[in-house]
Amino acid sequence: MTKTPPSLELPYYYNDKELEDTFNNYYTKAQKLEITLQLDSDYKSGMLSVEQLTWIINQKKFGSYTAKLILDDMLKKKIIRKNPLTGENKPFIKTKGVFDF
Amino acid sequence: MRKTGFTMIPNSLLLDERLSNDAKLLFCYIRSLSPNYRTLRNSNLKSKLGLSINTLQKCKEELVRHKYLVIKRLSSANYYDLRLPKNRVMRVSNSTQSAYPKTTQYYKDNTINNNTITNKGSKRFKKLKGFKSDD
Repeated sequence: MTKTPPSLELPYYYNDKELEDTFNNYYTKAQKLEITLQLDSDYKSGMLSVEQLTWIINQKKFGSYTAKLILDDMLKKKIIRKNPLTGENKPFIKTKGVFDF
Repeated sequence: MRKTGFTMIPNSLLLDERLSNDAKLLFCYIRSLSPNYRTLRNSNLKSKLGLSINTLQKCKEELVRHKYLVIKRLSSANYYDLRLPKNRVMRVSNSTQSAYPKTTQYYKDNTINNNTITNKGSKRFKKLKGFKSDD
Protein backbone atom coordinates (compact mmCIF):
# COMPACT_ATOMS: atom_id res chain seq x y z
CA MET A 1 0.00 0.00 0.00
CA THR A 2 1.36 3.36 -0.96
CA LYS A 3 0.69 6.26 1.31
CA THR A 4 -1.30 9.15 -0.02
CA PRO A 5 0.92 12.18 -0.57
CA PRO A 6 0.61 15.14 1.80
CA SER A 7 -1.87 17.76 0.79
CA LEU A 8 -0.24 20.32 -1.45
CA GLU A 9 -1.13 23.89 -2.05
CA LEU A 10 -2.95 24.29 -5.32
CA PRO A 11 -3.17 27.65 -7.08
CA TYR A 12 -6.50 29.31 -7.69
CA TYR A 13 -7.19 30.89 -11.07
CA TYR A 14 -9.12 33.94 -12.13
CA ASN A 15 -9.36 34.58 -15.88
CA ASP A 16 -6.91 31.70 -16.47
CA LYS A 17 -4.27 33.46 -14.37
CA GLU A 18 -3.21 32.92 -10.80
CA LEU A 19 -4.60 35.36 -8.29
CA GLU A 20 -2.53 38.45 -7.59
CA ASP A 21 -1.33 39.50 -4.16
CA THR A 22 -3.51 41.28 -1.63
CA PHE A 23 -1.32 44.36 -1.85
CA ASN A 24 0.05 45.85 -5.07
CA ASN A 25 -2.49 44.21 -7.33
CA TYR A 26 -3.97 45.75 -10.45
CA TYR A 27 -7.55 44.57 -10.04
CA THR A 28 -10.35 47.03 -10.53
CA LYS A 29 -13.15 47.22 -7.99
CA ALA A 30 -15.47 45.27 -10.29
CA GLN A 31 -12.85 42.53 -10.71
CA LYS A 32 -12.33 42.31 -6.96
CA LEU A 33 -16.04 41.84 -6.46
CA GLU A 34 -16.10 39.23 -9.20
CA ILE A 35 -13.30 37.28 -7.52
CA THR A 36 -15.18 37.12 -4.23
CA LEU A 37 -18.35 36.06 -6.05
CA GLN A 38 -16.40 33.44 -8.00
CA LEU A 39 -14.90 32.04 -4.79
CA ASP A 40 -18.34 31.88 -3.23
CA SER A 41 -19.97 30.21 -6.23
CA ASP A 42 -17.05 27.75 -6.53
CA TYR A 43 -17.53 26.82 -2.88
CA LYS A 44 -21.27 26.39 -3.29
CA SER A 45 -20.84 24.17 -6.34
CA GLY A 46 -18.21 22.07 -4.58
CA MET A 47 -15.32 22.96 -6.86
CA LEU A 48 -13.18 24.71 -4.28
CA SER A 49 -10.69 22.51 -2.47
CA VAL A 50 -9.04 23.08 0.89
CA GLU A 51 -5.63 23.08 -0.83
CA GLN A 52 -6.65 26.07 -2.92
CA LEU A 53 -7.88 27.92 0.14
CA THR A 54 -4.64 27.28 2.01
CA TRP A 55 -2.71 28.52 -1.02
CA ILE A 56 -4.70 31.75 -1.09
CA ILE A 57 -4.15 32.39 2.62
CA ASN A 58 -0.51 31.30 2.83
CA GLN A 59 0.63 33.17 -0.28
CA LYS A 60 -1.34 36.27 0.83
CA LYS A 61 -3.31 36.40 -2.38
CA PHE A 62 -6.33 38.56 -2.98
CA GLY A 63 -9.43 36.98 -1.48
CA SER A 64 -7.73 35.63 1.62
CA TYR A 65 -10.44 37.09 3.86
CA THR A 66 -13.14 35.30 1.84
CA ALA A 67 -11.05 32.13 1.97
CA LYS A 68 -10.91 32.39 5.77
CA LEU A 69 -14.67 32.85 5.92
CA ILE A 70 -15.15 29.78 3.71
CA LEU A 71 -12.83 27.69 5.91
CA ASP A 72 -14.81 28.81 8.97
CA ASP A 73 -18.02 27.77 7.23
CA MET A 74 -16.47 24.39 6.38
CA LEU A 75 -15.57 23.91 10.05
CA LYS A 76 -19.06 24.88 11.12
CA LYS A 77 -20.69 22.45 8.66
CA LYS A 78 -18.18 19.75 9.67
CA ILE A 79 -16.83 19.35 6.14
CA ILE A 80 -13.35 19.52 7.70
CA ARG A 81 -12.51 18.59 11.25
CA LYS A 82 -9.51 20.82 11.80
CA ASN A 83 -8.27 24.04 10.36
CA PRO A 84 -5.50 23.04 7.88
CA LEU A 85 -3.41 26.09 8.74
CA THR A 86 -3.61 26.16 12.53
CA GLY A 87 -4.47 22.53 13.26
CA GLU A 88 -7.21 23.61 15.65
CA ASN A 89 -10.96 23.61 15.39
CA LYS A 90 -11.31 27.29 16.23
CA PRO A 91 -12.57 29.64 13.55
CA PHE A 92 -10.39 32.40 12.09
CA ILE A 93 -13.04 35.05 12.50
CA LYS A 94 -15.19 34.77 15.57
CA THR A 95 -18.84 35.56 14.95
CA LYS A 96 -20.22 38.24 17.21
CA GLY A 97 -22.61 37.16 19.90
CA VAL A 98 -25.35 39.09 21.64
CA PHE A 99 -23.02 40.59 24.27
CA ASP A 100 -20.42 41.81 21.76
CA PHE A 101 -22.64 44.57 20.43
CA MET B 1 -8.43 3.49 -6.52
CA ARG B 2 -11.07 2.62 -3.97
CA LYS B 3 -14.65 2.12 -5.10
CA THR B 4 -16.13 3.61 -1.95
CA GLY B 5 -16.75 7.29 -1.36
CA PHE B 6 -18.51 9.88 -3.44
CA THR B 7 -17.89 12.78 -5.79
CA MET B 8 -19.37 16.25 -5.75
CA ILE B 9 -20.45 17.46 -9.18
CA PRO B 10 -21.53 21.05 -9.86
CA ASN B 11 -25.14 21.42 -10.99
CA SER B 12 -24.12 23.89 -13.67
CA LEU B 13 -22.31 21.06 -15.48
CA LEU B 14 -25.18 18.62 -15.25
CA LEU B 15 -27.68 21.18 -16.49
CA ASP B 16 -25.47 22.47 -19.27
CA GLU B 17 -27.23 21.58 -22.54
CA ARG B 18 -24.22 22.34 -24.72
CA LEU B 19 -22.28 19.32 -23.45
CA SER B 20 -22.78 15.72 -24.51
CA ASN B 21 -23.26 12.89 -22.04
CA ASP B 22 -19.80 11.50 -22.69
CA ALA B 23 -18.21 14.87 -21.98
CA LYS B 24 -20.08 15.04 -18.68
CA LEU B 25 -18.91 11.52 -17.88
CA LEU B 26 -15.32 12.50 -18.57
CA PHE B 27 -15.64 15.52 -16.27
CA CYS B 28 -17.14 13.34 -13.52
CA TYR B 29 -14.32 10.80 -13.81
CA ILE B 30 -11.60 13.45 -13.61
CA ARG B 31 -13.41 15.14 -10.73
CA SER B 32 -13.47 11.87 -8.79
CA LEU B 33 -9.66 11.78 -8.83
CA SER B 34 -7.49 13.66 -6.38
CA PRO B 35 -5.81 16.75 -7.90
CA ASN B 36 -2.41 15.08 -7.40
CA TYR B 37 -3.44 12.12 -9.55
CA ARG B 38 -4.91 13.86 -12.57
CA THR B 39 -1.99 13.11 -14.86
CA LEU B 40 -3.60 10.65 -17.24
CA ARG B 41 -2.93 8.95 -20.54
CA ASN B 42 -5.47 8.53 -23.30
CA SER B 43 -5.27 4.73 -23.07
CA ASN B 44 -6.15 4.86 -19.38
CA LEU B 45 -9.14 7.13 -20.00
CA LYS B 46 -10.31 4.96 -22.90
CA SER B 47 -10.32 1.81 -20.82
CA LYS B 48 -11.94 3.43 -17.77
CA LEU B 49 -14.74 5.16 -19.63
CA GLY B 50 -15.24 2.68 -22.46
CA LEU B 51 -14.88 5.28 -25.21
CA SER B 52 -13.09 5.21 -28.51
CA ILE B 53 -10.18 7.57 -29.13
CA ASN B 54 -12.23 9.78 -31.48
CA THR B 55 -15.06 10.18 -28.97
CA LEU B 56 -12.57 10.90 -26.22
CA GLN B 57 -10.93 13.65 -28.25
CA LYS B 58 -14.34 15.16 -29.06
CA CYS B 59 -15.31 15.13 -25.38
CA LYS B 60 -12.07 16.84 -24.43
CA GLU B 61 -12.53 19.43 -27.15
CA GLU B 62 -16.08 20.15 -25.95
CA LEU B 63 -14.98 20.61 -22.36
CA VAL B 64 -12.06 22.82 -23.35
CA ARG B 65 -14.25 24.92 -25.68
CA HIS B 66 -16.80 25.56 -22.94
CA LYS B 67 -14.00 26.27 -20.43
CA TYR B 68 -14.60 23.34 -18.11
CA LEU B 69 -11.19 21.78 -18.67
CA VAL B 70 -7.61 23.00 -19.02
CA ILE B 71 -5.13 20.50 -20.42
CA LYS B 72 -1.46 20.88 -19.57
CA ARG B 73 0.77 18.93 -21.91
CA LEU B 74 3.41 16.83 -20.22
CA SER B 75 6.01 14.48 -21.72
CA SER B 76 4.03 11.25 -21.91
CA ALA B 77 0.68 12.17 -20.36
CA ASN B 78 -1.56 15.18 -19.87
CA TYR B 79 -2.47 16.94 -16.67
CA TYR B 80 -6.19 17.75 -16.51
CA ASP B 81 -7.23 20.79 -14.53
CA LEU B 82 -10.93 21.35 -13.96
CA ARG B 83 -12.57 24.74 -13.84
CA LEU B 84 -16.03 26.17 -14.03
CA PRO B 85 -16.76 28.69 -16.79
CA LYS B 86 -16.95 32.32 -15.84
CA ASN B 87 -20.48 32.90 -17.13
CA ARG B 88 -21.95 31.39 -13.98
CA VAL B 89 -20.84 34.46 -12.03
CA MET B 90 -23.13 37.42 -12.42
CA ARG B 91 -21.50 40.39 -14.11
CA VAL B 92 -21.10 43.06 -11.50
CA SER B 93 -21.08 46.13 -13.66
CA ASN B 94 -20.15 47.37 -17.09
CA SER B 95 -18.06 50.18 -15.73
CA THR B 96 -15.13 51.41 -17.77
CA GLN B 97 -12.92 52.08 -14.79
CA SER B 98 -9.29 52.17 -15.83
CA ALA B 99 -6.73 49.91 -14.21
CA TYR B 100 -4.51 51.38 -11.56
CA PRO B 101 -1.30 53.08 -12.78
CA LYS B 102 1.24 50.36 -13.39
CA THR B 103 4.36 52.52 -13.38
CA THR B 104 5.52 54.87 -10.72
CA GLN B 105 6.09 57.67 -13.19
CA TYR B 106 5.74 60.42 -10.62
CA TYR B 107 8.74 59.21 -8.63
CA LYS B 108 10.99 58.43 -11.58
CA ASP B 109 13.04 61.59 -11.90
CA ASN B 110 14.00 62.48 -8.37
CA THR B 111 15.20 59.29 -6.72
CA ILE B 112 16.68 59.53 -3.26
CA ASN B 113 19.77 57.37 -2.59
CA ASN B 114 21.62 57.72 0.70
CA ASN B 115 19.88 61.01 1.45
CA THR B 116 21.13 62.58 -1.82
CA ILE B 117 18.80 63.44 -4.62
CA THR B 118 20.14 62.27 -7.99
CA ASN B 119 18.47 64.60 -10.39
CA LYS B 120 18.90 63.12 -13.85
CA GLY B 121 17.18 65.96 -15.61
CA SER B 122 19.79 68.57 -14.74
CA LYS B 123 22.69 66.49 -16.13
CA ARG B 124 20.89 66.05 -19.39
CA PHE B 125 20.14 69.73 -19.52
CA LYS B 126 23.85 70.50 -19.07
CA LYS B 127 24.77 68.18 -21.93
CA LEU B 128 22.22 69.63 -24.28
CA LYS B 129 23.22 73.20 -23.61
CA GLY B 130 26.93 72.48 -23.83
CA PHE B 131 27.38 73.70 -20.31
CA LYS B 132 30.87 73.20 -18.91
CA SER B 133 31.64 73.30 -15.28
CA ASP B 134 34.61 75.27 -13.95
CA ASP B 135 36.68 72.26 -12.86
